[in-house]
Amino acid sequence: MIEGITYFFTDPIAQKVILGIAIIGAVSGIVGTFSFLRKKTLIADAISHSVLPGICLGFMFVGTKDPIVLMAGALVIGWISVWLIDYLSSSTKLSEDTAIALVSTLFFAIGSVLLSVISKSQNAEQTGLKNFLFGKAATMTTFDIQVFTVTSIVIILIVIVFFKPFQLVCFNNEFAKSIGVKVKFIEFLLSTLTVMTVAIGIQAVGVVLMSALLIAPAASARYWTNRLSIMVVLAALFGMFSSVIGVMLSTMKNNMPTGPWIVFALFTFTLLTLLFAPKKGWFSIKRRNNSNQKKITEENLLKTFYQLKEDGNSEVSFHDFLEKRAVDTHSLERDLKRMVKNGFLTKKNKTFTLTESGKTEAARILRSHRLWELYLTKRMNFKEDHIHGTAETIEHLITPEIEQQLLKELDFPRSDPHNKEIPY
Amino acid sequence: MNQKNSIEVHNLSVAYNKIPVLWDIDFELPQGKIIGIVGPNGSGKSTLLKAIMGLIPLSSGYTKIYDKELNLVRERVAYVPQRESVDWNFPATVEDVVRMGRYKPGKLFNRLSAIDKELATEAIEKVKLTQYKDRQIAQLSGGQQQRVFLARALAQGADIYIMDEPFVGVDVATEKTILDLLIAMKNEGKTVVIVHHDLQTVSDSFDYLVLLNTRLIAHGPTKEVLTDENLQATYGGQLNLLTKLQNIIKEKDFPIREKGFDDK
Repeated sequence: MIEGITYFFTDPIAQKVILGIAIIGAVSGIVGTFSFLRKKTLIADAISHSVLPGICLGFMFVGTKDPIVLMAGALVIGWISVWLIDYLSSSTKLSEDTAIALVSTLFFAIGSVLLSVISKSQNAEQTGLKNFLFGKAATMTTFDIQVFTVTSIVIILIVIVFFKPFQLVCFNNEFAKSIGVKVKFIEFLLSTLTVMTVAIGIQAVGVVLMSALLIAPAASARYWTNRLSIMVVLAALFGMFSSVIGVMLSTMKNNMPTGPWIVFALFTFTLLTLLFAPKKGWFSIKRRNNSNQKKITEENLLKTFYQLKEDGNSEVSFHDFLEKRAVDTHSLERDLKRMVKNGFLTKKNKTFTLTESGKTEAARILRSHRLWELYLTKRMNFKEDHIHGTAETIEHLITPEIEQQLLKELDFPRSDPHNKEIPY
Repeated sequence: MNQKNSIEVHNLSVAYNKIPVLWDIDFELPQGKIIGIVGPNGSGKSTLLKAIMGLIPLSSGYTKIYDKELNLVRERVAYVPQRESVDWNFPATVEDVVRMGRYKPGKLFNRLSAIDKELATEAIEKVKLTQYKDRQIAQLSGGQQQRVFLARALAQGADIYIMDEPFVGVDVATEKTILDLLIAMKNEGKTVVIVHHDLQTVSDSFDYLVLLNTRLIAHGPTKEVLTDENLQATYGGQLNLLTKLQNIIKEKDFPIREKGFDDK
């Protein structure tokens, strides 16, 4: 394994392949971002399946694997597929997803037929066209990589120059049209970029799996940022790293196709994103839920304490707590321990007493609860026997500002609807 | 055409999904007024706006702005689409969207100037969203999103503002903010055209009305147009015969105008 990795950084041919795939991955991420935002990910998938006959026709035309001719073939057929999908969904009763499914499978079928024709008439091993199905990065020649690099630079330049129109059309194409942007042209340009990206990527990634490299980086990048420019850069980085890692993995054993390994790497990135992304990630959501739950438990315990005190107790034993609140012994022990540590309670001979800060906090929560109950009856016409449940939740949400507003609006009341005193 | 007119719609017919939704609409709108285009759901109000903005193909007729083709006076018109027409999850902040109002197709590839940015900031201030200017647009309430769209139009600095249902799904505060703004705009001599679905709310503020229900019912100053008879015609159900014809046209895929017929 170590040998495999050092091989990539010392062998000149391997270095070129890595460089090539890195560029392809980055460009796919960039172009895919716009497909993703226009919700045209299915079209990206259709294009990558549809270019197969273009590759085959290009090969049949010149008889060699000239990257320029193959790309030209892919471009022409890719365009035709986009146009056909557009025509079928706008001029017939077929919906867009049906049109996409029909066109992509039809074109892929034609490509497969052409592929077998080529294999029969020529030495299949020699043509290496079979590698276009699932991709084989190692088959990229130096010339291939040069062509792909130049094409990539062109694509990136177009994205930079047309960034604003792309943003406008992806967000709100009616508005773009209303200020005079040539929306049809911009859409055509975006489709063209997708076709070009597919054309440079399929040798390494394969027509079957190319769409993953267009879509997954953008889908992940969306989780990490709310700015389009950063999203584009992140998608480029995700695409680049996944591709490089995929290529490295695929060369660990001989003759494995590259595409599947790139997809595995992409999927790993996506999974990590779903787990760790800020705010929308699984861990972030979990952490939020936990801290909410902690807050609720703690505040409820303080409240219980205060209420027990209202009944005349100043010291409360563990047992009193258990009676008042239906929780299990273990978690109650843990929660009380934490609250002693936080300085809300002190513990002496198995009984608990509120500290000063504990008292203030407990009074605040009870005040919130009773104020909210009063608000519900006075302002929202709730019946008295319906207010407790809502107030139990809302009491934990009332911020000092809202409390001030409540106090003002209710004119600093003395007691709640159940005639209990509101503590200040 | 009288130079005092802002928008002229002449013999306009439009089919949507092959069903004709506007029949021979013909009117002229004054300048410097708040103009309501009012009718029930499905009466073709939004379609009419889109036709004026050149967003959809016409079956017959034409529209003009300041007596000119739209393309010649585009910078003088700002369009506010329906709020639901876009995905608010798009990665952009309030400021990003409002700055789109300063984009000009001719110099789309240049960076925005300091003046452009200043105008966008002012527009955000006018709709009272300054404290939210860096917020992701998905995190706004419906009313705030509507104000973002309005600010984008304000940033365009146009003379005519065409708004599609700006009062749908907005809170009372937003409704008031928008209304105050519209009145301020009118006082500056701007023309505001608003599609609105019912006459119960905010209609007091309209100076001029276009009543629509697939055909033009009436148009003119609010007081003259707002008669029981007109309202009955606008809201009192579809014309049965017209609905039947619409269905036949759809079934047979029939054109609304014969080939070679010239309205002009």
